[in-house]
Amino acid sequence: MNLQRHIAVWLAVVGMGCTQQPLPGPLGADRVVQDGMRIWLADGDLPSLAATARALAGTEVALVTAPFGVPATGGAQLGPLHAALRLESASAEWLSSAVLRFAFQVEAGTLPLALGYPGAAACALSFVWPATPLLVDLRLGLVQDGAPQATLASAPKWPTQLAELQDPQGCLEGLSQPSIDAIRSQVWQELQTATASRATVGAAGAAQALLDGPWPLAARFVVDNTPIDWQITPLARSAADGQTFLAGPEDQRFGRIALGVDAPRHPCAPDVAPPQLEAVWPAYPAAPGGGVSVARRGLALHAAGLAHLGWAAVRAGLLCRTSTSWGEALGEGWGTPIAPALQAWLDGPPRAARLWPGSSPAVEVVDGVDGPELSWRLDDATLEIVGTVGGEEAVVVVIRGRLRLRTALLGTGNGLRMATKGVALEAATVSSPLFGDALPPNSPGDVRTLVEAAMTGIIGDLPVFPLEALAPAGTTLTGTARGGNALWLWLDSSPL
Amino acid sequence: MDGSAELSARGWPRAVRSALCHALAVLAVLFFSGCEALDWWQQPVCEPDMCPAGMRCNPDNGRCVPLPSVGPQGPALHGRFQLQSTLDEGQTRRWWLGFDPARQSLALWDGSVIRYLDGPAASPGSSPAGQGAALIKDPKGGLIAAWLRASDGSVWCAWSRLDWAPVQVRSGGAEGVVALAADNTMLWLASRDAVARTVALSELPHPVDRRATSGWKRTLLANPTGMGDAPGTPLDLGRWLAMVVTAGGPVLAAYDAVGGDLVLATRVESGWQASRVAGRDRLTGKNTTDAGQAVAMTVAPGGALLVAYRDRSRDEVILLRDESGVAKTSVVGSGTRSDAATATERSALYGSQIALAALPDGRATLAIADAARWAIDVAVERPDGSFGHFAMTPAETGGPLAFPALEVRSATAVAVHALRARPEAGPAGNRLESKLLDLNQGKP
Repeated sequence: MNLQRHIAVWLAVVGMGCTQQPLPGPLGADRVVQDGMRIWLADGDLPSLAATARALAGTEVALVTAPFGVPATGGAQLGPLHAALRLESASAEWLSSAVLRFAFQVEAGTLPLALGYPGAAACALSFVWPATPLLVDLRLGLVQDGAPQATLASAPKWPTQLAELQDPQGCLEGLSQPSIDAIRSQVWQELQTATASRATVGAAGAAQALLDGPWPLAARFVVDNTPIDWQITPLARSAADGQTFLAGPEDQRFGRIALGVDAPRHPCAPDVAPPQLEAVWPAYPAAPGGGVSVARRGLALHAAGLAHLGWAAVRAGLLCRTSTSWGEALGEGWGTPIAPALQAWLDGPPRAARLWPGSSPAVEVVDGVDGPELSWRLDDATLEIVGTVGGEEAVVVVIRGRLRLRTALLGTGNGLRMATKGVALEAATVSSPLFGDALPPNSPGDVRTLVEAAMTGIIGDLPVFPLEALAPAGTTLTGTARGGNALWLWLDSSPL
Repeated sequence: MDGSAELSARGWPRAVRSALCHALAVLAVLFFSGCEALDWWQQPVCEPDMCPAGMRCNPDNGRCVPLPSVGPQGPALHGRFQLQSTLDEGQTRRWWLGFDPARQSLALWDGSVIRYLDGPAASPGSSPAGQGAALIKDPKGGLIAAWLRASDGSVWCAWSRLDWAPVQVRSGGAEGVVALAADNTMLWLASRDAVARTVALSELPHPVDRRATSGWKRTLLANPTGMGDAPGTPLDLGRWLAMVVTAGGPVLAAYDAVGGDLVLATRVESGWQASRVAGRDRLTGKNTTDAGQAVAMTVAPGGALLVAYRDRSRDEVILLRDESGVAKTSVVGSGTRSDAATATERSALYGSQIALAALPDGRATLAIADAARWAIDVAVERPDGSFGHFAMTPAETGGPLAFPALEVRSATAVAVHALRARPEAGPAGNRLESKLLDLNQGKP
């Protein structure tokens, strides 16, 4: 269900009226970046995850049972149980490299019992237990269809030896030990069943929120008549352990995801093979301070995966883009820094920018002033600026050559968008077809402001990915960080 | 009144004051009695079209005054310009109407002398005018021009047989361009209403004379029937316009910026009926392409309606031929070009300006601007419906080219006109560039 919902959301947000079809066959090996993306659970986020599990379980567990016939007593009955157990707190820790343990602290309590024979007065006794942790152990693994899922690693545990029957009125006198044990066992079982089931629901719900995503996915999306093939596959932790997904050594609990994308070549795209980069992962960066009661996971995109996505975007023609939404801010005198003689021709602000990437981008994750940024290098890009001349649109400036673009990834209300943080022209030429593919002599040729504004418009129009497709609805981007050549995103969601 | 003015008035000689008072009294009596003697004052002495060639009638003093001569290269027009030819005593006379950037005025040039119809050059101190203009042949003889003043959004019209005296059609609210069409009984003028975001259609019984040019009836193309839209669907009509008169009446072509569609509207008894003819799938109702951001229309000698429009999404220019209600479209040309360096294809800004004309045998000929390369593609329809292409390039003409216009001179000769820029001189350095295309030779 989640997968369907995510795909629907993805389609809605991308909003280009696309359709989905089954993938005709698995993508070729060169179209897939193994371990190109990871999801990660930071140890520092375990308390918040546990609080989410407790909230999902409900802080109070009500128990109501039917009367119970005590065996080997000649008809003695234990009256109906009415109890309210309180989950005081919860914690989470890794029990092993692959098993995540949730411990729900159950408040100490006393349960009044009534024991008697039909037609006779009941005798009062009580069942007492101390404050005791109820343990739920989960394995965040892969189920048969390859979908990550939180499953019980073992049955929930609540130490039975700590509870006892208190019998100040001697109700149990004359009963055999097996009968007394049966009473004790029955009461304990009722309490444990009610409490453990609620705790398991809470723990599994919180853990599943970490795992939800558009995976495994093997589908062809047709966007504006362009088929784009996606294959997103969660990978088992190791060949020997085909069941475990999110696991690992201390503070390195992550799940690997193979990222595959392919598209038929658009005529505007160069016919080049995808970059075959190996994803070499660094140690993980520290998570930012967390909120309470949220399921937070890290989503990490390696530059190898980003470069492949960039290759696919270029190949599909998605970066041959025209943007018209950026020029007004530059005002009417925008041509003067480029060439005063050009300004005399311009009627108003720039009307549009048209980008031809010319090559697949080389991608790096770099440190910016306000956080991590992506550096995109296009070696043979062409950027055309369309102005208004004599009331009509015309290309008036052409920038061609190596273009380096730095972008930050921002979370918006419903997804991720890239924001331009800087543009560098490296070995790029500036010309104007109006001036015979040159610039007038002694022109400053300063196009930096213009190019930054134009690229902001072009990149700002690109919906990168809706958060809902990566995590449950309501997910927000909490922070970003660079770790080696990978970009880390922390995504908070509340499954409550 | 301040003290100095009062003193000055009182300081006039008694005789002068007495004469002035008597003169005013006589004028008042004549005025209130409706005396025909005042006609000389209301009418200029010179009559329209009575001034010799190369002169115009000056309404300020009623005398014919010489028009400025600008030489064979014509004025430095900028932006879209209009071209019409008339027969004057067996001689073909050509008229160019466009915006003169140096004078910020609407200029009409007949190949020798220039007349400013509006703007500071026509009336010193007035606002710039004439950046969106239309020029058509008057069925009653001569020419009719229409234009707008961008500064106040007013729309104006003038007839050559009325010595181009401007008549205000709208006092404001218009923007962009105007389109004009006329038959023997009516004149239609289309302009975009900036507030209503639709086309305003002004109608005037035709022909007119000097005293009957104020009867314009204006309607808004607000809720045209036949569009197939759901109620409340917004429109943004008229950023691009064209209009012609067919045997069935006037036909308006307008671009709808909301849907990116080309809309054709025809005059019916109850108003205007419109339909989307490009940019939207008629069966599914889905928007398919952005069509109509530049449109041109003409009526072929056989009566077929020809509509040429730009499909911006496909970077193509399409010709729609409607003969007796049967429409057929064909691709005239595409702006997509190969880039050898990257072995990729790129689109141009092909068709942002389109000129369309019909040859005597009904075939279409088009001049299409490629605003990415500043070149003109001339396309001539072949008998089989395909198109042959001829290029006018900056390298060939010595400067970037834009704003094409077409003139069919004979069954085998088409003149292509365009503005050639001298970039370093600015728009005031533009010159008209003309090429005669010999269709027999198959090349310009």
